Amino acid sequence: MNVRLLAVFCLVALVSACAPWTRVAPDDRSFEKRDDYRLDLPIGWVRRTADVNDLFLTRDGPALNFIVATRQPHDRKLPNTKRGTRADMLPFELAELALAEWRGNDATANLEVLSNTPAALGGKPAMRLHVRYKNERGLPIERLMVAMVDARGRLSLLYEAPAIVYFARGQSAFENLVASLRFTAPPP
Amino acid sequence: MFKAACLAILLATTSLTASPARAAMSAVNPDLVQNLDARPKKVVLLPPQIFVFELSAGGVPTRMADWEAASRDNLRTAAMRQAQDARVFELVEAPALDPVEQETLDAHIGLYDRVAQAVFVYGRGEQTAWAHKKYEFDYTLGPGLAFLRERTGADAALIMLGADYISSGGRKLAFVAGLALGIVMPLGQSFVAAGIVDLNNGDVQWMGFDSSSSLDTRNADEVNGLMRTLYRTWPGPR
Amino acid sequence: MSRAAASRTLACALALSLVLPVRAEPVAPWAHTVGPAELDAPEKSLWQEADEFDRALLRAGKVNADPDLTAYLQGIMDRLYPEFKGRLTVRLLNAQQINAFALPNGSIYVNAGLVARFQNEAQLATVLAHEGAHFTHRHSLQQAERVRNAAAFALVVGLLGVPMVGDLVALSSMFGFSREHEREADAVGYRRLVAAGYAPRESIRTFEHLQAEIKAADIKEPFFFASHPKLQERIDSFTELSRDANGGETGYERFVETTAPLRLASLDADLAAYRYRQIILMLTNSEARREYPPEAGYHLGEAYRLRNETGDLDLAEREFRRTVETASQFAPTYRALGFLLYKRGDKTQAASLFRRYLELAPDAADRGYVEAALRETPAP
Repeated sequence: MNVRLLAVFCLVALVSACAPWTRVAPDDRSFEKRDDYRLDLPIGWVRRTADVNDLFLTRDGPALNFIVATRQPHDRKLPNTKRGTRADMLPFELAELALAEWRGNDATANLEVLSNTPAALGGKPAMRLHVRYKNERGLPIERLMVAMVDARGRLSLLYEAPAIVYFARGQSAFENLVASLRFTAPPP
Repeated sequence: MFKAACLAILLATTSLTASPARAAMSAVNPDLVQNLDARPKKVVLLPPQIFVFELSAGGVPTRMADWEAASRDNLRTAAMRQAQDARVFELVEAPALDPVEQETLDAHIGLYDRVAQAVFVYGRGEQTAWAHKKYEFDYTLGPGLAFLRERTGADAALIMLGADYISSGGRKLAFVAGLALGIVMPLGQSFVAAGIVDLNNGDVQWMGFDSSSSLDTRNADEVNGLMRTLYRTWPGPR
Repeated sequence: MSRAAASRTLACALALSLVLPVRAEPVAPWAHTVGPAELDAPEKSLWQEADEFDRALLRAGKVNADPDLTAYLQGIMDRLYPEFKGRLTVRLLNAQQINAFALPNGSIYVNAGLVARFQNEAQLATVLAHEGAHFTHRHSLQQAERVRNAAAFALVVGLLGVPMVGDLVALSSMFGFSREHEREADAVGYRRLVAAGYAPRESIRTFEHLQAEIKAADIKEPFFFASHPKLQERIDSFTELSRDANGGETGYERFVETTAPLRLASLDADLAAYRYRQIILMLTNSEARREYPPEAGYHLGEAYRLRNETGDLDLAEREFRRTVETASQFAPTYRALGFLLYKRGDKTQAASLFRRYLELAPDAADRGYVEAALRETPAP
């Protein structure tokens, strides 16, 4: 998490009067990004109420598991590769770019690709990329991303958790969230 | 506006907490509380990990290997002695491990670091949206450390992590820094987390946390006091 | 400010702030191997931190375990510093950045990306000799430099998501040693190079070659060799040192043969990290290209595809077609050419290339993408 987010998070961790988190309830689990897409959130997970991404969820605390949904325009350059995306990118090209981006970050430079396959997101062709890397303490961490591009930009859903216990614990919640995605706006 | 309001509340709160008194916090697995007879009788003490820094006048930390060795020894000795005095459980030393076992242990300590952070910030249920975690307390390391049970006969492991920032010249400074536990520690300059983890299933049974602006982990007496305070939060009769 | 930029800024600020005043009294260089027990407290502390850093790198999977490559590098170091055998330990890092560094305890690390860019053994020896001198002359202690291990670094800046072993490595190299120490390491290293029988003139070419590559590839990494003034200093320093020198061996054949797997792996890693400019620079140089097998044409084609400037797709197609001729059993070329034609709309030709790819690489990890594309092409 970045410094700005962390500062806010830590301040409110001490002060219950501020409410940065909200728990996903059975009768209030739909998330919609206006004129873009809609998702069903996993019940019992906790959502950050303000985030730079479209959505940030965790079950046990961000250090143990999190799901992020992000929509960005094509011309927003990725921080490490300094590349944007294009609407005509094939899924494997998007996966290739995501891997280059992660490899450009020293923390994940030596990642191992567990699987890299085509997928569907909201009925559109997408990539599904599953990797593992170790942190400085030797803890293996797994990251699973499903992402696609369209005329609007790039959309990614990402799930990350330590490989020991926690990744498996939250994976079905992530898969269900991915499967629930529906685009709500007609293509521009 | 939101940030300004929170900052004001934080400053008011921390001015109240900026006293030298030790603040021990804990989280206990409700399953353990409901079945105190199942508390571990024999616990293996894993080598404590503590990072000790000297803070320069400008507030820049430098890691001090010799101080760390002293702090580690103090924590180990105090954990053993206070466990005996408080009659909480039998505490035994960890065995020497082969490289594969050590790598497994390192990975699980890496996980414990994150679990401790999550328990401290969220698992104590102090935020409204997180209140459920106090009762749905399913923090675990998994069964990967069961080999320690086979090696030692212990039911559980005691894991201790910490960080201590000591200002040069002995003068304490307010310092906000990241820790091994990956959290921001307002004002307090030492932070220690001790946890008991069941060696069968890896479930966290108890965690005790201490945040202090006066504790110097190089001081054996102070560390004894710390462990005494932490063990007081271990549930059930002695 | 992006997270990466913020973390680097903080990391640099911390590193600079770690450099304490230079000691007043001179420190004698080691004349022979010593053990930790013979050190006084401050140096012992440095060595202990360095030992932990060694372990952290190993745990994080950063160290290349290839025994032949490791033995080769160590052999060069032992030739340069025979009396320090067993203490000066060389390890190859699975990192593509152009960097090498020395730790206070005698651990010397060289990135695979740097080794892959040398032209011969004498150039590799130049860098190893330089780094070895930082250890023998105890430069870390002289500056009271504190090398932190990754865990300690994570303590302070982990919140920013920067427990990066790579960044730490960069800091210890770039900010660790003063200009005086660098020049001393050049001089000491140069003497070792000559004494070991290597061609002294290669010392200049080592850095000229890297400088050309870094300039052309517009690399802006904060690493030892990438900082332009530092690189120029090395060139100037070695030019002065080797003014009247001649002879010596380059070890070209031995180097090319031993490091061949590393060079292809390095191309793969450069592609995977989108370092296409470096690939184009390397493989369009006819002298460097002869050190690579014909399969490297695939890498050059992919590099053109990724660069994607005007005319690049045609250049990519040319390289792929040439590689299909010269390395007909190398599967990735068929996939690459297939997708290039697929995107252009020539799905019939693409399909036959995809089928050939799957015949040659039935267990390909990206099989799913190729099969998905095949479903969009006309049946044979």
